[in-house]
Amino acid sequence: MSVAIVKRWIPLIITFVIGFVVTLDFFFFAPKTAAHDAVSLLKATVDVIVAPSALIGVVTLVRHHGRNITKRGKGWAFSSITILALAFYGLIGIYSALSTTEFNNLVLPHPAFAWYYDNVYAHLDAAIFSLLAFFIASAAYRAFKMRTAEAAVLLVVGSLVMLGRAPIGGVIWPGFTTIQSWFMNVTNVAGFRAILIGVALGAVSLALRQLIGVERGYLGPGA
Amino acid sequence: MWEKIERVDRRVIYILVLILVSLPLWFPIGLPIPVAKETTAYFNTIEALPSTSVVIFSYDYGPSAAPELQPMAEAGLFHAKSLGLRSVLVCFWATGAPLAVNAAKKVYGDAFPNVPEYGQDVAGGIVAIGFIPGGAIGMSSFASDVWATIGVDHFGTAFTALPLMSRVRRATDFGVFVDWMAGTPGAIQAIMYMHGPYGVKVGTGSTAVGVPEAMPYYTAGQLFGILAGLAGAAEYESLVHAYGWAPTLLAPMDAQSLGHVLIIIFVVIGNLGYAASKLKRGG
Repeated sequence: MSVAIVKRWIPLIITFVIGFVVTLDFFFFAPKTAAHDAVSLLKATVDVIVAPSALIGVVTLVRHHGRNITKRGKGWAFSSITILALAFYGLIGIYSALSTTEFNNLVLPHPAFAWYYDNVYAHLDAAIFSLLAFFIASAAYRAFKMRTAEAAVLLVVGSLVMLGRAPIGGVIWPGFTTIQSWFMNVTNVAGFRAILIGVALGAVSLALRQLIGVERGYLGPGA
Repeated sequence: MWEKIERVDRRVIYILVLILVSLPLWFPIGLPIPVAKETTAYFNTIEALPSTSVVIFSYDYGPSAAPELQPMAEAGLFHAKSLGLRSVLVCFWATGAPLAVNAAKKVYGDAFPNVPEYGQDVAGGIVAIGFIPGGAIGMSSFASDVWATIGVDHFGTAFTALPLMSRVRRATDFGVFVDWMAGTPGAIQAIMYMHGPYGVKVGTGSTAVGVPEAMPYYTAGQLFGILAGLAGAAEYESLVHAYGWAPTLLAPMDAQSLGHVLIIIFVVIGNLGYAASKLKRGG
């Protein structure tokens, strides 16, 4: 079989057939019909596709950071921590799956996994995100300057919305709450609606191009 | 002087933020919390549901957004239980499954899922389905056929052994779909795959940063209500308080208020410094 058939035509046919059938289902197949149920089954196979993609993610991560460690590249110590953490999390998962027949060997509800999630992962994730408060304050001080008229408008509106969203705004002056509500419900909605309609039209156009095989970037180079 | 102020060490700013945000957590001020109309709309829609309705709560966030979303997720579940509604907990983010279980333990007790309501089609009945992979496609699949998408709950129990699940087979069986969201997939995808094709009412509790994007859907009637960030959660807690829910966000909202004021003060001082430097340079 030639390379073009394997790398281009087979993926394009799969994309077209599945995309066409799922689109048909969305618009035309009624619930509780055999056709709709068949497409539901097809969509449920996404679980099978997602599982190997996690494995590919692990391989890519290990290769990337492994190379950085062997070359003693920038931040190689952090790469080591990443691989150790990955291995540790993996071991907890394997231990959780093998150590009990409870929960049908599922990993997520196992106490060991839950302990690690609650006491390590949750705190690390929350701590990193909470640093945003400090960065935003520092950035507001240094970067939020009235250099142009547009920046001045952004600054004034941003400050009014911040005051209106917090209870203290209403205590200082009840009008802050009303002004904030107007900005969120009128100007924000108008702007976002325009963006969303534009994005939706772009997405439809891209989807159609992929469906009929004009856009092939997702197949990788040479396809 | 203004130039010096403009070039202030960022560590000074960090310390000021730390002090001003921490103080109200220990010594709450008790600022009043007015309730926004999006919050009232969410509350009223849940109140108006028939008592046998099934509410699907989707925990689409991780620990980074938990301080903002977990309080409303817990209060929301408590509200549903207080009204005798049936709750089904799902998540389309892998990180959401333990948070859903934690919320259920807060509302139903630490013995969860070993509680009488678990899996039962009774007032306050509950099932925790857990993580459904596939992102938006997983959500679409869940809407069209719940049982084909995932046949067991979070604890490995087959749906056939959970009487409540016999009433939850596809999106048309959902009373409402509530998405606690911190990104994609979230309530916007639920509108696409549940509200659009099946007419399911979708509501959301979103991180504050996601609210501007969600607002057009609310004004168009595609979202029945929005709990907007920590403020929305605090407002909702004050409404659910009528059922005995103890508000948890009074002190955090004071901290947020002072944090917002501090940032605005920083912006003003930073701009005064910038203007003074510009004047000095003859700009």
